[in-house]
Order: sequence, then C-alpha cells, then structure tokens
Amino acid sequence: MNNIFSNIDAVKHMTAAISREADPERAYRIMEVCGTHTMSIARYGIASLLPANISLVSGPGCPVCVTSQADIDNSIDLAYGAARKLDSGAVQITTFGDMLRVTGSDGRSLYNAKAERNNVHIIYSPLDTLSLAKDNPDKHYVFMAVGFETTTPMAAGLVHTAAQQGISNISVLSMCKTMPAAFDLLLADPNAKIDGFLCPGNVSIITGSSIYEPIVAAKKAAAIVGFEPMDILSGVLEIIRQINKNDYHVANTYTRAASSDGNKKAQALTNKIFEPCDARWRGLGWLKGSGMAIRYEYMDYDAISLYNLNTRREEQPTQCRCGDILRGYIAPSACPLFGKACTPMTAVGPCMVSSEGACAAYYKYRI
Amino acid sequence: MIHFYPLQKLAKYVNIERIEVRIMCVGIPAKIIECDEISAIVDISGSQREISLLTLDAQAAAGDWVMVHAGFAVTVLDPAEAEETLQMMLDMANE
Ligand code: SF4
Repeated sequence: MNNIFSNIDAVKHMTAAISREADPERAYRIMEVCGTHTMSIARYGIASLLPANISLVSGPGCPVCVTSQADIDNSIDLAYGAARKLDSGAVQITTFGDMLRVTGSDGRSLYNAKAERNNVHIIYSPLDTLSLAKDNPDKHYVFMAVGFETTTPMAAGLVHTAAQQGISNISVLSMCKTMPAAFDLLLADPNAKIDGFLCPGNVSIITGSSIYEPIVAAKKAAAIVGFEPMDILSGVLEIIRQINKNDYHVANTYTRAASSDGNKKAQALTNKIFEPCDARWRGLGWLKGSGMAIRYEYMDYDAISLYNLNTRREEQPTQCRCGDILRGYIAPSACPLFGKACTPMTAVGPCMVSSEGACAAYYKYRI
Repeated sequence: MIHFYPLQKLAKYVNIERIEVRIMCVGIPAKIIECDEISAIVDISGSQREISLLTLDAQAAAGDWVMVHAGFAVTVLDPAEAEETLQMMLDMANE
C-alpha cells in the first residue's frame, strides 16, 4: 500500500512553495483544530518543515480532551455503581478505549473499574453494544458517547437500531459536542491570536463546509484538510495565501472525501435522535448549544435521565493545564507537569491520556 | 489503494496491539465484499468485519471503497480522485 499523500518529493515541492510565499516580515499562527491533525503533525514532524515564522497551535478538537471533569466523574460513578437509582452490578459500560485511563476527581478511572468490577467493555463501533446487550438481557449497557459531528451519528445509529429492534437494556451517556460554539469562542478570544484554521476533514465529511463560514466572516483563513502530510501542507499554503491576499474563504483540499453539503443522511440520523443543549467543555467552560442531548422521544435510551446524573456537578481544580492548551495559549511542554509527573503511563490530564491529545503527541514525538 | 492510513501504520500511530480499540476519530478505508441496504461485510487490510451503511448517503456495491468511522461507512472513496487531488495540490504549489 503506497501512500501518495506522504510522497517525499511532493512534500518537498509543497514546503518549497510555502517557504517562498510566507512573508518573512510577519508571523502566521495556524490552529489545527482536530486531535487527529495534532497527531499527524507531530508524527511526520511537519512543524520542522515549515519556516520559523509559521507556528502550528493545537486546538480543542480531541473529544476525550474536551470532556469535562464532571462528565468523567459521572461516567466513573456509573461504572462503580455510585450513581443514584442504580442496581449496582447490573450496569455495564461500553466505551472507546481512549476514555479508559482518564482519571476522575477521586483518582479512579474506567480502567480501574474494568480491572476491579469487570464491567467496562472496549468497543470499536457503538453498534457493538447491541450484541452484548442481546446476549445479556439481565444487564444494562451504557455507551459512553464522546465525539464531535463525526461520531455523533454513530451514537445516534445505536439508539435508532436499539429502538427499532426493541432492545431496551441499552442507553447512551451523551457527552457529544459540536464545533461551531468552540470556533466562536476562539474567534472572539483576543489572547488566542489565531490567523487561520486547519479544519478537520473527518468532521467535514458529515457537516459539509458551512460550519466554517463564521471563521472567514471574522477575516480568518480556513482550509478543510485531510490527515496526510500533503493534506496538511496544502492547507498551510492555502491559509498563507488567504492571509497574504487578505481574501478569506473556506477552501477544501479534501474533496476526495468531503463535499460542501456533507452527508445529509448522517445529519438526519443525528437530528432524529439528538437535539442541541448547552455543554461544559474542559478548559472552555459552558458553551451555549454546543452539546447534543437525546431527544425526549428517546428518553428511555438516555443514561443521564435514566440514572439521574448531574451534569452540573462541581469540578475540583487541578494543576493540569489542558484548558490552556485547548485554547491555544500554551504548548504542552509549557505545563510544569509535562514529562515529569505527567507521562502517558502516569497521565494527569486527558490531553496526555488520549491517543489524539496534544500532550500525548508532544510526548511521544518529543517536541 | 492509496487513501489515508494503511492499517499497520495506524497501529503504530496509536501504539496499540489491537487496532480496533482506540480509533475513534480516524477514518479507515475499507473495501466492500458484500452488502445489503443497511450493512456490509468489508475487508480492512485483510481482516473482515461487518459495518453499518446507515450513514452512507450514496449507493455502494461490492468492490467499492468506503471510508469507515467507528463501524459506519460515511462516504464512498474514489481511488482515481485521490490521484487527481494530489495533482491539484502539486499544481497549487506551482502557481
Ligand atoms: S502535561 Fe499532563 S498535566 Fe500538563 S496539561 Fe498535559 S495532560 Fe495536563
């Protein structure tokens, strides 16, 4: 399998164009919004291929990283049977593996619950929950739904299918979020000082390009890009050109997967099951209309109402600087715990736990 | 096939043994072996699994490549378009 988008000659050609066109008199701050981009950039050493006046800043696009401490605490309580109205022992958790080692305020994680209680199941697809639930009708399965526009349709697919097949021992704890409110926040934040955004191609496959219009309306550059070196570099070139010409529009170099309208079927599935709600983000606080709550009609599948979870519970302050990293204020290496108290094996914050977190990327590739 | 993450590369990238457990946001290209209206059996770099077509807004048939997110096909991929895209990027750098 030969990957043309990481071809070395093509990459050289592209970086030469970037060096030629970047104005040495000014600085360019470009935010890669998505955690998968952060990983690609670190892994391929893309920052080192760019002139010094172009900096790439990580953004709030890793779903595990932006999950609030309150939501994490709720998940862990659920796994330990501490939540109210709980027939302890019957509750089973299904989750993406990334959530496993994020620690709660009391120092426990889903990983501990898995080891101690054997009731946490790592799945690849939300639909994997269905077969578990069918095989064990005496247990109740709660899927921990984290993710952005890319992943919410899959959680919706689980509820839709469970309802259709009349499977009642399944629910979803929705911590799903949408990007636009986070963009608004970053655009309005004078400290973030972002000139352009590398927009996540995977989100765009579902949403189309319209969600990025506010970026260009605020006179910042935007390019929808995929995840290979050529994708990212072509996005950087596009952004530099938009800035140099003072001409802003949502460019798309990921046309091989993302169309301008997005995926209407996935959007419809999401809207059938979910509706917008306010959501709390780690580091960004409460953002209006940025969450996805299960609609009233599907209440029987909503773990928050089923188990009476308090999404507004208090959060304990910690030394972790994930919040500042997600806003683009600091790089992970500026956190005093980075690489010392906090490593992937002894992760303090979610940015180090998640395989797409900025701290994990910086640590793994020693930036 | 030339899209995105070859699976072995991906395994290294997320540093896991079992590829399936940690990939949440990354799309994986897969080839359809057989399909009906709502689901398909696909080949992902040599291993087979069932995926859902609930979120695929295009017709797909055996032999097509699709991008898979968390067990759901989200778009049909066209290998020829990948070549064209690369050419477009190279042209862009020449402008
Ligand atoms: S290095 Fe650890 S403690 Fe510091 S911001 Fe990152 S995850 Fe938090």
